[in-house]
Amino acid sequence: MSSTLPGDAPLTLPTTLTIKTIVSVQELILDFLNKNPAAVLDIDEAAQVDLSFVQLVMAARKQAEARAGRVLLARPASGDLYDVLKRGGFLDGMTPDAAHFWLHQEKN
Amino acid sequence: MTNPDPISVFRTEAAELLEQIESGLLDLTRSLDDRDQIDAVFRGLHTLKGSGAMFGFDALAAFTHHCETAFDRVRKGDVPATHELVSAVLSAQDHMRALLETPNGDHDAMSAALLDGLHRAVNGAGSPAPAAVAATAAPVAEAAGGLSEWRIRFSLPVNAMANGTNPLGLLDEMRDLGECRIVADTAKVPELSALEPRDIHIGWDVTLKTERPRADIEDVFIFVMDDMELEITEVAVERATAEAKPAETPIAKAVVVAERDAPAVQAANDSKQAKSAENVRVPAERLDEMMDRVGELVIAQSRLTQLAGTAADLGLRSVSEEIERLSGELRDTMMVLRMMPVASLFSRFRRLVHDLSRETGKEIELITEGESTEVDKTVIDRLADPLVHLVRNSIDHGLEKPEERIAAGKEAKGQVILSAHQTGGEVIITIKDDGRGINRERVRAKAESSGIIQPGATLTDQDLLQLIFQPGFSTAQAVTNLSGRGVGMDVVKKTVEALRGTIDIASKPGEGSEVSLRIPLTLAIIEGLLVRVGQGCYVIPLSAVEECLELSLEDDLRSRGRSFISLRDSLVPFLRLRELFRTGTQPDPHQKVVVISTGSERVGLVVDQIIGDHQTVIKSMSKLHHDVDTFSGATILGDGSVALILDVTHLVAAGQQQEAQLRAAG
Repeated sequence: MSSTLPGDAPLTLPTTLTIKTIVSVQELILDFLNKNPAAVLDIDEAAQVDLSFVQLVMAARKQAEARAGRVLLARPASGDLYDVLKRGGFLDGMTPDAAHFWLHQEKN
Repeated sequence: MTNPDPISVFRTEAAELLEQIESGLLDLTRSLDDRDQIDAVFRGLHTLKGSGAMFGFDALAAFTHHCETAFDRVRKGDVPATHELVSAVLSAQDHMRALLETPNGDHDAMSAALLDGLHRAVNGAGSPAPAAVAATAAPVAEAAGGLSEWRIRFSLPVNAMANGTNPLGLLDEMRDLGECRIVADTAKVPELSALEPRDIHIGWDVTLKTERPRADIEDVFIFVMDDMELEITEVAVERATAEAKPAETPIAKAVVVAERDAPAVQAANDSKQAKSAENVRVPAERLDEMMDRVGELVIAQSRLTQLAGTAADLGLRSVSEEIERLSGELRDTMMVLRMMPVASLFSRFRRLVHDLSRETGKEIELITEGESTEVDKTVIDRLADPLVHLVRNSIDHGLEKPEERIAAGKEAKGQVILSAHQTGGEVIITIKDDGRGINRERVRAKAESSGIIQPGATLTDQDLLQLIFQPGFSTAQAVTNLSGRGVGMDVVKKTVEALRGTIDIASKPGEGSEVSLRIPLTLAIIEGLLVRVGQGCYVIPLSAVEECLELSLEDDLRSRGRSFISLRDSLVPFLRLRELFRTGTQPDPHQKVVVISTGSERVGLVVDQIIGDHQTVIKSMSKLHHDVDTFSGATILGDGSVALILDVTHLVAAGQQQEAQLRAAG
């Protein structure tokens, strides 16, 4: 994991992160962010992911940053998550900040 | 308030989608080359497949996929739309309903049989050899003339994912068109607490190099085109050869068109968004609950009015009048909320007639009229089955085979006309055919042999025709799966009467039959005329009241034994409700006659006092009173007492019977 700080609390997410379960995942993250300023999302490499989850993570980042908190990924995107990022056009033209967040690439 | 179950929402939306698909297929049967209908059916099948898969209805999605593929081939011109193909997809569509309702049922055998039929319909329609497909594809590439670079910016309708569209699939389709650079735009994604997570707020900016024409790019968005924001701009053209003619769509022109169209597209999008914001889907049971509450409010308001009427407090009276006005308006608004156009009822008969036409070999044209007429939702729900029986009977018993019709000097194609119109507080739904008409001799013979009437009994024509609504009555010589089992017409009558409606029937030999259902517009609250008979109060539905007259004691005494009043040169029979209800009280010195009617029949009801109009919340009678046909229900008055609501139909029938007996007695 890159750039974690003391106080960053891990949040293990379920293995289905698709539109079928997205409402409960939203509640889970919201609840966690209400209790913790920072969340380190632990996403199983074999987790099922679709675009709704990628959007949810972006919304969570926005919310955390607006409240001086932060959201991180426990490990670089892989498996389904990486595939969705690629197919969804998130990798083309990715900003250094986004590359750092999703892929744990170092910012230059 | 809890969120609606997404599976249940999907089922509702899928059922609507299936209705749209069915409607599109039936329209196609009239014009097989209608491109708009072909596209609409394809879009419907595609959406059903996508959303079915998303909500875990895998069998539905897999089955629908085959129908979608078949229609995709039609859409692309690979195979023509034929009646066989449309019928195969209609049958498949029924199976989709079953897959939707019982996704875990054993549907494999049926699925296989239907898909076999579908494939035969497609292949029978002339599936072109691969070489032929290649030959038709070639000119498209030629027409494009070379490689173009396109800039495509789009954002999907916010509910696209929830409705089953997979945005990644659209992006994949775009990549299939050529070299593609796709960049997601996440600027509009809100903060987590403001996000409805099934909505989509991501947009895309795509640069595509392709030889394919603009139409192919637009085709990617065919299912969401109506509600999305889409901007396609051709930014560069690379000609394939130096001698190539100037591009048919020059860059400047494309840009101008895009700019010129932009405000119009934006306006259309705004209008669509505004429209979608104007509609809210509400479960019917919530409307029923609300109607009950309004009913209770009307009763409470009635009590308040009564109290205020006896109080000297002017302020109380003023508030009472204000509340009376407001509760009346609330009631009217509530009534409108429950109203639905009968079009939703009539539309299902197109399929029925289509199927029966194929089943019976009869050529049938279904004509619907007055589809915008609105009726209470409960009435629509309850009328569906009776109307199915009536339409089936018209087709099975009424309409002749084409050769028989031609021999009788008629068009080979028979007509069934379904119409609706409103008169006062009633809606009249008519089922009319131009068939052979009802065979009265056969009706009489059957009724006599079944013991329904005595041999040689004297009956009016209407009474004779009404015999077909008797339980177990059927004149069909052969039992078919359409009708002829004697089950149905009696159920039709019971259902209509349970709705406080009536059935009239008319028939001319060789010309056809007409069945008219008169149904009250609403079942919950009616405007009534409150009257007193003896010590009891009764409500007469105001929609049936024609006029009120005074019956002097002298007139009353003079008319004893005759029970007719002379009303503008016509004799109207009347019933003394005091005698009918055996009140055991003396008549008031100034009795009143309330003349009521249903259709052309009229009867007078003699009451002691007319109290006035009354908003009547209808309460059902208990099961113990189900066989009391003089009353259709009860209501609670302002002082907490109960008033019975008179069943006008039965009272008029009783009056007419009395008239007939008196006439027979001379």
